[in-house]
Amino acid sequence: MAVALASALVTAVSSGMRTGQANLEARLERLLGSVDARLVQQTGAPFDDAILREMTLWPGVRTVQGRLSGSLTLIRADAGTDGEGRIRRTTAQARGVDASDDPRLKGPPLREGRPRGSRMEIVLDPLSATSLAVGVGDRVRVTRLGEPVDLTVSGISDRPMLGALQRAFVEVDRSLLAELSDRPGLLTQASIVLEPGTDIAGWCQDQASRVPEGLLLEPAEMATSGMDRQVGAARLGFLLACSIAVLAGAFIVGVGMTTSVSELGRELALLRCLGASRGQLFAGPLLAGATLSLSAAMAGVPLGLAGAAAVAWWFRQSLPLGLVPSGEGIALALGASLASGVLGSALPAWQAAATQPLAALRSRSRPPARRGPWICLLVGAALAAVEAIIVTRVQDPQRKFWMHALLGLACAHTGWFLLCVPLLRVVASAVATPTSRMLRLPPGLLRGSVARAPYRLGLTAGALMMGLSVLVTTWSHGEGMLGEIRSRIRFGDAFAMKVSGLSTAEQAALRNLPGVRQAAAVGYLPLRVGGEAGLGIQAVAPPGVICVGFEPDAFLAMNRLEWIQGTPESALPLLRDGRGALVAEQFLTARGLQVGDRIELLAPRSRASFEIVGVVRSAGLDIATQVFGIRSVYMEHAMSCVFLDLATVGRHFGAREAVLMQMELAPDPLLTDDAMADRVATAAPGAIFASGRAIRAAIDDVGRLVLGVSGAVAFAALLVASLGVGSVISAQVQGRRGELGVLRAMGAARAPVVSLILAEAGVVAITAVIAGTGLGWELAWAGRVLFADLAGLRLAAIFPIWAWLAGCGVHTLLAWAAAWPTVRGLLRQSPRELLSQPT
Amino acid sequence: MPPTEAAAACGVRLLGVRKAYRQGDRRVEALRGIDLEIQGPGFHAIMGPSGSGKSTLLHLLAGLDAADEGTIEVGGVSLGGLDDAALTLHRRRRSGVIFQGFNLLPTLTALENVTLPATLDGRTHAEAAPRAENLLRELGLADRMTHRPDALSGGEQQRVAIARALLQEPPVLLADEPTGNLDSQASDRLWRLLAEVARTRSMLVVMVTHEPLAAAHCERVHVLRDGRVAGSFHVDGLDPSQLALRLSDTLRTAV
Repeated sequence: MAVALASALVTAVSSGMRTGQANLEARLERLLGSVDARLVQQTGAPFDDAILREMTLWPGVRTVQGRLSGSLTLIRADAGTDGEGRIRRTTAQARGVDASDDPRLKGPPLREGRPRGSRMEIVLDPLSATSLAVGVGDRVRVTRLGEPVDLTVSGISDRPMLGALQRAFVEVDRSLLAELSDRPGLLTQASIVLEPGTDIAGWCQDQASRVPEGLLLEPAEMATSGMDRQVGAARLGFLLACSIAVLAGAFIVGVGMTTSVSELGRELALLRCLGASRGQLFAGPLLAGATLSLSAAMAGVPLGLAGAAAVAWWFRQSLPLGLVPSGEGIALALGASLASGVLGSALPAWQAAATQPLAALRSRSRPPARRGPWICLLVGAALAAVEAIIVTRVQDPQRKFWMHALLGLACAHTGWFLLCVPLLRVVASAVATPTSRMLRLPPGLLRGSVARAPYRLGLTAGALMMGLSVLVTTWSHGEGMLGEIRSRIRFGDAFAMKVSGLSTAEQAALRNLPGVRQAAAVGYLPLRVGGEAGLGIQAVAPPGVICVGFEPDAFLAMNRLEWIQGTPESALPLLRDGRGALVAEQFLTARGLQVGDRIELLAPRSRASFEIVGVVRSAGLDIATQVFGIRSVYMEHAMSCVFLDLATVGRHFGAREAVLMQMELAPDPLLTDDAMADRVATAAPGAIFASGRAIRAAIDDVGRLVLGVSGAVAFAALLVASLGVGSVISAQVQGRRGELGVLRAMGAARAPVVSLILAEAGVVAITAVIAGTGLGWELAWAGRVLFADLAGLRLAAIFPIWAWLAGCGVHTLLAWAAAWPTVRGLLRQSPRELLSQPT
Repeated sequence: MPPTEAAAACGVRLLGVRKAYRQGDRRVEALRGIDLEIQGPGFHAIMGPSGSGKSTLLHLLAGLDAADEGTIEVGGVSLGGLDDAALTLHRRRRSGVIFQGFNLLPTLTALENVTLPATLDGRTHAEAAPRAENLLRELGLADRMTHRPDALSGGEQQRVAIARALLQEPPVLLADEPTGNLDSQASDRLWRLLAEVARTRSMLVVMVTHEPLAAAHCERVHVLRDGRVAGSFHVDGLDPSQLALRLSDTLRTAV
């Protein structure tokens, strides 16, 4: 059953990932269109649309479509209000596209209505349609400085509703958006469809000479490379999880088969007496393990698919393609099950082959060798140390990760699995005396019964530890990450963003809004870095850089900057007087620049040099820009950020507009996000409002969700392990029926006998808790080191005490629950029936 | 205690006792209405062919199982009226059992095995140990007290089992084929030991056996056949072969 559930888990996770990936690809295709290549400005800025006409003449080009990104503030044309009398209003990200007959350049799939047929029509997404309470055929009004423009809703796109952080999204004609956002003749992307059979990458290379300086021609699939990397990372995690599942399955099968071989010891010896060869006895458990595991996988795979299908159905709004089964996941589940069966039955098979014929004639089994637990201690400790050695001694992070994944994990798990054998004896010795006193039983009874079956019980504890170790590792990392994010993220309570820029008048209007206690304007200006020459990584680092103009004092009051080099005290005076610049930490690795060096920034018509006065990281700003999509607009082709005083940016490069305004709000319960959104829309028409408070809450929610999911997976692992060891505990109790019968015959009441069995299960559970905590903490530590090495993320060593306590409780309860059916059966038997079994 | 009261206190009485078992799909009637009274103290044997119900009878007397019908009294106490707790106390204090397979707990030492009933009765090992040590010494196991069962011979294990059965000084000692796993010398020593125990401790010792050699050490033999009492006779100087003939006669006349 445990192997079946492990297979189900592997199948469900792999199919879930495949489903998610397929649906994401489908959504990306809808969003980006299934074009072959695209032309964009390296800095992400808009460029002249005259190139569209040229491109249609390039060889191999079938169709070219211009696109422009921006934002629009919409209200109902009839000025309809909501239930509280406020005008219904939404500020949506807008995509302006040229009309095209090419089916590959069609608009988004529609939930209702039809594609736009004229310049004065708009396609809304469900979010904007809901917030405006409009449908197909209704009219919406674009508010702006100047005459408003009314548009007819031709259709509602089929876009899933994804929650609080989702921005409304609309599609209009490009020329209309260009007019509304005062960017005539500009586009942010040219989407290209090539003649069928064209080698896209080769075509892009061939046409590179035709592309004006500053523009980038690339295959469209590169746009999804970020997603591919994420999918790759998820697959890597999945493979690690699979390897742990295989180990867990192998442990469980191993324990079960060892028990079975122990129980069949006399029969096996009898077979040897009758002429069975060692090979025949070896093959028996091996074939049984393989057959058992494959049968279990046969049951587990459909179960996993059903689980994934249920999840896909539940999230059907976000997953329009529904369940996409993963062939390789199913194959992996079957293979992993087979591997766990064969691995797990190898030791029992060897034990079976080692059976002596005379064992059949012995009245009782021989006690286990005393040196066995010592050997387990030495080998287990050595294996557990392998992971520690890899993590502390291997210097190269990549090599360290792969050694950890391929060798360290397996060694750590196997090591702690073996350590459970000596650990069990220690635990039994520690709890035997108080437990026996309480139950009025000889202390030797509990200690002795554990000592008689050190491998069976110890390895059972080893199988049971897996769930707790997963729980400790994932919760430790999860809480560490959440703590890290919480500590790093500090930003304003409200944001206003306008891609086309907030004018100084709009900035002033926002600063003076009622309820705004403090505001900091942030501008983004694409620049180039002077002095490109370099070697290695420096040579391939893109020359583009995003200049973040900010007001140092107000910005630092609202945001937390992490100072990797330099200090605020030394940096701020130089920033204020325009001589200094802060750089993002990527400069350290990509360009080798650091505090004290000079950096030259180039604009088309000006250049200026600054002293680097600090190397910083701003998680809060990262998240805010991510939420607004600024990162994708500006930073896709830029390497990193340079932070300058906003006034300095204006003085040197002429850009005084801010893209983003951060605001700190007065603690007023009436100052809701909706009210603030209204005020922002009035003060700066076209600006998108986002609530920093909601972003923080959403981050917390996501963190809790991640912890919840990882906790659920860990508890599922606990359950799987418990189901697996249930049969072993049951067999252990059944095997001691005669002994329990003697106790009853000597006058032991039912209660202490039951308590004795539960105490034994408790000893197994305690051992599993200790080992699971040890393994989990070792892996959590290894994970922290790897996070620091690979991602520069320094997680705090947080021991998840509450999750751990819950895990311990579940562990013990499940161990008892596993023993209980057998105990209940024993309770129904008379001492005479119990005595019919040998002691 | 006057002899008659002592006899009642250590006597056993069965009246119309029936007991059936389920063996797979088959229902086996092990006892089909046993009427038997044995007055203690003394050393009595219960004999009969295989499947005659000897061991079942002994298990019922020991309180290891419950009769389907009839009355069982041990030491003047009716077992039929006892609940589980009282029956547990009966096993703990009022009857000692010796099994063919010894049934020592393999994880405990000889001394711990002997003190087990006292420990179960609420006394500590230290409290029970002196008496247990004396018993083991009396039974010739002074140097084997700290050994576990797997380090003892069959005869030694059975003597440990006897010491365990005697620790609580029960009025009745029940032995189920106690020499089934012993060689002839050890068996002979054990029979003599049981006879001595019955004599010196004023106990009723009831031994299930199918060996005339064993029964020759007893005072009286009760014969079972097909779940009923076929008859009883005094041993009174019968040698084993005479006893075997007498046993055959009893079984034959009961047909």
